Amino acid sequence: MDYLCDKLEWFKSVILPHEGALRARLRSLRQKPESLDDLVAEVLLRAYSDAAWRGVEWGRAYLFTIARNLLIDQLRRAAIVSFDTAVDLDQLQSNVNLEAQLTTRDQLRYVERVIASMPPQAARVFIARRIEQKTPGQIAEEMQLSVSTVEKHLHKAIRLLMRAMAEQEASGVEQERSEHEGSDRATGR
Amino acid sequence: MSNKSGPSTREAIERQAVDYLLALNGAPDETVRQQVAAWLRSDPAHAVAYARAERAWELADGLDKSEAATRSPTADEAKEKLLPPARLTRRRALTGGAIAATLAGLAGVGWFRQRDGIATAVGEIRDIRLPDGSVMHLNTNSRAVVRMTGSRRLVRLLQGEAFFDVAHDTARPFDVEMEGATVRALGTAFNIRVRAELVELTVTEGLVGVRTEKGMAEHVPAGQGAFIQPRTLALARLQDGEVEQRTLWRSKVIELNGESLGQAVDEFNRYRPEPIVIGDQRIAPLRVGGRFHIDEIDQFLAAVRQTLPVETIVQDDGRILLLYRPDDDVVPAGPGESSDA
Repeated sequence: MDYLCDKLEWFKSVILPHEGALRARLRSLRQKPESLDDLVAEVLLRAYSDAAWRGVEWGRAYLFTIARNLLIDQLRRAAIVSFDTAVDLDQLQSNVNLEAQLTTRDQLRYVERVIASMPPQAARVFIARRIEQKTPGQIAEEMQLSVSTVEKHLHKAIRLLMRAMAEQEASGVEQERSEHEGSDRATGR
Repeated sequence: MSNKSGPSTREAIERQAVDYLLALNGAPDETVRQQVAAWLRSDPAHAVAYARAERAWELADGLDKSEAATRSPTADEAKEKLLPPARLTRRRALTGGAIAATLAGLAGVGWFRQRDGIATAVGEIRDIRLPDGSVMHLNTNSRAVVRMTGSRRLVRLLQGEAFFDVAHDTARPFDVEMEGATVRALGTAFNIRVRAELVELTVTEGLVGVRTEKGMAEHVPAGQGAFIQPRTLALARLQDGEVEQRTLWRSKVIELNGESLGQAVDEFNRYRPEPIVIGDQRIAPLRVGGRFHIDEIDQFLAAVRQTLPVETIVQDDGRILLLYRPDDDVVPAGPGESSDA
């Protein structure tokens, strides 16, 4: 049980903060939106399944390496590799110096924005449960909703937050880079 | 790619993960806990989804309700109060047997974990009191992430330099992780500087353990230092005064004790947005001495002009150029031997 907890804790703090950067980078490699989600999911799955996870400290480099290997495998299967694609793959070589995490304050500001953009009911329920730490029963009473409706809103709010988190990039450096890549992307399609 | 990772399956797993997260955050009974644990173990995709849900949940740690509800995103950022006090008592209420305790961990009980990213700007020095009572002094242009759990105190020093005054707690080791190595302390004080090529450790009190990524390990007692790379770990007995010299930055003081002008300039530049530039490499190896306040660059420049054949030019953009001043009696040591080749 401790092992499972440790591993989940590792995954949350070392790997997941870089999910957004991974997604952005894969997107810049002109992955189609439908395969993008599959690809990100597969990379995360492989990251989690690595038996040597305890040695992994630098989530970004680790995720990028997995993604790169995965794409190379796919390309091998596809047999014909365009020169462009091979060059693009080099972008997945991450420099660990670029590892960065948002400060708590940046993080919270981001979460605030996400909450502000949620449907009002979902936002209210989330704030009541998560921040005011009221029980679903109390919230249901106050908002004159059924408990199951409260739970539905809460469920929705968390999933919106998960989606936002998956898009969030972790560092200023990374954002600068993405802007450069933006121009590549524009000509590449 | 496996069928499992298809969009519809993934969505179903994600829904289940969120449901379990909410269940564990209510008042779960033992059956529910065991059910969740079994579910997490049965498929890594379950665990990934659960970790994502829990992280989303924990991201809201420290949000203040009035701010979450009413603040516009562009409002001012002065809100130190968002860094929440550690709410450690909650955990005790939840522990009841090993499984309950660890599942409390699973349940997104973010309120007993405090995880902060902390950074200083160029020229900024900050003292940060950590939830366990330890103090982290963060030097200029540095970045660290703090993670406190019931069993471990962890600081990841991503960049720069920090001095740690560690509160004594033998049950919870205090670990500082850098790229390539971990330093562990139980209750001591030590300084870590992450340089480009290596990590420099200085121990001022107690005993510190170092372990590199490649498995080299040593104990470093007070008054000693270590140079750490993933594959090398070199201990160094420090001269009198050297320990102090390496930790004087906490009082915003730079002590020069025969360092070269090049090294001295590098040291000052750590604190300056606009650098001091050595315009003539012949002067770089000249030796300098003295104690200077980090912010009082003029005194340093005056001392340099007085003791060395150097002229200092402050440029419009704030840069300071150091040049060789030939009409002086002092002859620079080893002209032409400098490293500009």
